[in-house]
Amino acid sequence: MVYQFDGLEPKTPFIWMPVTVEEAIDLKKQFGIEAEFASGATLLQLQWMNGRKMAQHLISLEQISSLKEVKLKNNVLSIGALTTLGSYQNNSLIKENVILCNALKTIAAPAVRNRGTIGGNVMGGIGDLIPLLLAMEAKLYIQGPNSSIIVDLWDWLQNKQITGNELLVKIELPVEVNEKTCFSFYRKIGRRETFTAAILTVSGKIKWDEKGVLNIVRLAVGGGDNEPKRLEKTEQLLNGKTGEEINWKAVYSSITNEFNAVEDSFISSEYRKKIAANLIVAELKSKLTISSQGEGHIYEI
Amino acid sequence: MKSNIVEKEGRVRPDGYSKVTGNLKYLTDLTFPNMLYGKVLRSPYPHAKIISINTDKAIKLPGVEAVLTYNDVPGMNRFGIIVADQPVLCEDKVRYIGDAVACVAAHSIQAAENALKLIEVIYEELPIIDSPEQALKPQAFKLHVGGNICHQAMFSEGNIQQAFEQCEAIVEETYEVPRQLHAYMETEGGVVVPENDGAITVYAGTQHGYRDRFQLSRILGLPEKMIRIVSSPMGGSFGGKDELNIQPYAALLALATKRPVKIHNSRTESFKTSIKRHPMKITVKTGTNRTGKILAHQVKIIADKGAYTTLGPAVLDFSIEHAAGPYIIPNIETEGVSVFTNNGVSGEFRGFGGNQITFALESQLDRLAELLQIDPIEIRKINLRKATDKGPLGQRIAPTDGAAQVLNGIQKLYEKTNKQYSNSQWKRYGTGIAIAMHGGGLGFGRLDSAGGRLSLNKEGQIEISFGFEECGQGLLSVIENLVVEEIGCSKEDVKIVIGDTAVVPSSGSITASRGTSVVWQSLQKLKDPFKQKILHHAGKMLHLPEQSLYLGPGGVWCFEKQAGPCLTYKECVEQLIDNTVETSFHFPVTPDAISGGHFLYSFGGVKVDVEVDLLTGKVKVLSIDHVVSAGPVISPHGYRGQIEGGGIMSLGYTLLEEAKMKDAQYVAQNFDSYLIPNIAEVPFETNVYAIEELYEGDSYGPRGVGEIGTIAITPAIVKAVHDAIGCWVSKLPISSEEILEHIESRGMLEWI
Repeated sequence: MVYQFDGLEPKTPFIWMPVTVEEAIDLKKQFGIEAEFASGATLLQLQWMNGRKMAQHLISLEQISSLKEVKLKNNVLSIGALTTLGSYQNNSLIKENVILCNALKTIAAPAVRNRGTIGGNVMGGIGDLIPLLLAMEAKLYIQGPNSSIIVDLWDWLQNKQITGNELLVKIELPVEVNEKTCFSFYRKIGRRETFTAAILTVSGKIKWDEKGVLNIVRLAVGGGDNEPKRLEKTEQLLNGKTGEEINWKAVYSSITNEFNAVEDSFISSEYRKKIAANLIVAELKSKLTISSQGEGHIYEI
Repeated sequence: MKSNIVEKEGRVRPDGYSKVTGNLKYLTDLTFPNMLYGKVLRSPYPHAKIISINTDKAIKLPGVEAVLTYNDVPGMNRFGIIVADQPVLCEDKVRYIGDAVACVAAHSIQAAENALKLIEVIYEELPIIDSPEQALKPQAFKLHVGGNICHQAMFSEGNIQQAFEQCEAIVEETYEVPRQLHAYMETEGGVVVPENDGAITVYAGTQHGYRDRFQLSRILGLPEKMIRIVSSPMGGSFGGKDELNIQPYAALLALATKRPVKIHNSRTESFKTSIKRHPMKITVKTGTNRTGKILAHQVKIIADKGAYTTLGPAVLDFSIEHAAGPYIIPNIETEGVSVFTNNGVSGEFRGFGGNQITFALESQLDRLAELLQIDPIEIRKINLRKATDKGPLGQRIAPTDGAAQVLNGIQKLYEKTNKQYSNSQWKRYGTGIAIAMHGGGLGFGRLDSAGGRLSLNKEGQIEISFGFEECGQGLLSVIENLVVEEIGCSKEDVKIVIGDTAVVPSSGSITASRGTSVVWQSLQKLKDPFKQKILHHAGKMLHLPEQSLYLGPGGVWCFEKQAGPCLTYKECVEQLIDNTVETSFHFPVTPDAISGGHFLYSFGGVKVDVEVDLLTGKVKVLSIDHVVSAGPVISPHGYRGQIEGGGIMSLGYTLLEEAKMKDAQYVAQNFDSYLIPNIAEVPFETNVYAIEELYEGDSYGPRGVGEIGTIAITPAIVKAVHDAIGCWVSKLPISSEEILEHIESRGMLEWI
């Protein structure tokens, strides 16, 4: 056979630098599939290196200052899509959100976090933040060519029909007021300690009533090439129960059944399922076991 | 971060500032007027016949100045350090996915890349051989005319069959070790510049300029004297740049176009084409008596050579030699075979076969210790060599007590710090130790020439020259420190000249932990004649007896006048005609004619602590203690750098790194999926303790430490994992999946 000629290298792309969201949307409309939005371009860079074709028009979002705003209002943290992954170092509102900071620190490396954005991490589709945001009940504010919508992240992920024309403007994250009756966790496991794609990322949030009965359970998995997903069946298994009532073996196998983990040349699907289940069970168990042990402060530890 | 060695007078390595600030110009940073960019077309198939190559379209592309194929190689179309069996440009067959088929020189990298796409090669794919086992089957087709066996080696002593019958404990295991990437920061590259008289200058990193000159001379059909190799500095090599890489292509293109040609491999090109550490399967059966004394040891090694020979035979010989390590084993039988496959090319790599075999040997001792319920230190002591024992191949070696010294050092650390970590709910902790013995130099029967030159140059500098390269190992510090110490001058007086065949003497290859050794030995031979020459001349100039003078900082000093030099070196050289002393000698070698047998050995001991995560099966190394016996320390920072860095390189080998191949194609081709350790993997608790004393009467001075820090790490980590959770690992890199399965099977997680 002939070693096929697959076209010469494309020319350098045009780089557009709109200053408003509307301008960016207009450019995308104008160039259609020839154009691509770029925020920090850190994931794109990796994909280009791995053979992804560079679009002829890159629409840089860097100059749109409205996309960089972070606000806290009515217990909702609104994070502009262009807020960098490294913002846990300097943004006072982000700094206060401990679990978000912990998650941000696990993504890529310092130099990448200086450029990579929270919005890009979500819209790239494989970001480590997605499971966290799923567990935290995040909403997305998305601007399309003709209209804008506010949508629950999980709904959006299940029903998304991305045309590539939408722009994520901001992410809205509810902030917990009564931290004594809720617990959340986030874990990323990679083949290496840092600066590595996730084998998987898990996150969860639980709340309980004054009797220690779980009334909110949100568990999510994702990271790397795993499709981000809420573990709804496992959530149902836990909901309405106290720590003592939970059958942990059943929870373990529910997670391994429900998580449709990917397989690659380095890590098997089976292993990913097992560690997802181990991590979630261990996190929940440690909290719920301790919560049930104290006297007088039973469910407030 | 503890150590018993400290840098003298806060000395900074000569290339330190320029490296840290990024100012240093590497050879791949060079540009020349009218320079072209070269690219090499590599085979996309691991095994195929070449039916035809058509370059017509490529040469017509604007900006393209030359497109060359095997027809354009004027000399011998082959290279290879031991056996020249690798085609420069393949004629009728490709044997791995990096095999070179054509090369292009163009005005830009992009034009060169586009030209590669326009070269039409018709291949006929052939079935692949992707494992040594497959290659050894009787019906397997032959990858080379001589068959699929590249090299076989063996060693035996005593009678193992009889001895096994007397053993009280026997352990048999197969150890599997992966293909490792050198992962040097600077990928292979450089510029070849044609000179006016048909000669060329090759600016490209290598570990042995003179050998590159020889190999290029054969390929280009040019006399060696018409080839100048400038080969220093390099951004890392670790054995990976000892063999030729891009030099032949840049040279052919420069001669064809009569313009300078630069080739600098991208990381992916480097990944596909570079040599790797040999993957091996090592099956070992070891038996002891009741007290742990080894009576019999049987070792079978199968190495995956990949497509071409390069230094493969020497690597296998080294593994065979080190099969018994620092232990005295009365009955031993070791055999090895290095087998051609279509899996890339394996070759030289820091440790040179010692890492693989030491993992197997030390792991056997740990398994036997467990079986016999003996302390890991104790079983090693029972079997340890004594200072005047012969070497592992029965050859005479320079007497050394290094083995006992490092084992004692490790024992002290082991007893002092054991059990400092206490288990938590989902974590278990363990400690492991291991020791290693490592030969320096190339071994008996191999041309291992060494040498150097010392002169007082016209600028009044004490110029010291070696045919060596600075590849990050700290060679310049070693040379500077030794010259200052041996001559008595100041470091400002010293000029170091290395890595340029036009001006340096032959010192042999900067490999096999021989650099420091050769520099020290050369200076022992050079210093007295040099001093005499200068002092004799200075005495005449000053009208003073030579005996009243000595070489000191800034010039020649008089014993009676301590205010400053009586004659600066600059003044001294003015009327000096005979200003140079040169030496050439053979690296110290065993007097016994045992092929490959070494004479000088260094020893390393390691203690590590690890943490095993029960939820994920992941292993984290928490501390590494090194104890090294390699003679006097010449450059303390450099010494620690080599040992610590070598340790981390092997930590990667043990826990992370594998250049995995599927159907003879590399699965990972860049650092996003081939993972090397980064700072988060490096334990802050990394300590280096040097044992500097040599055996009484030893006149061979400091041994190099480029490799010894890499050897004992792997078995120590593996033992520490066993200590933590009771699981024996025999395949590297350690698989978290395997560890997790073990955790599950032992019921360590209550929900499973």
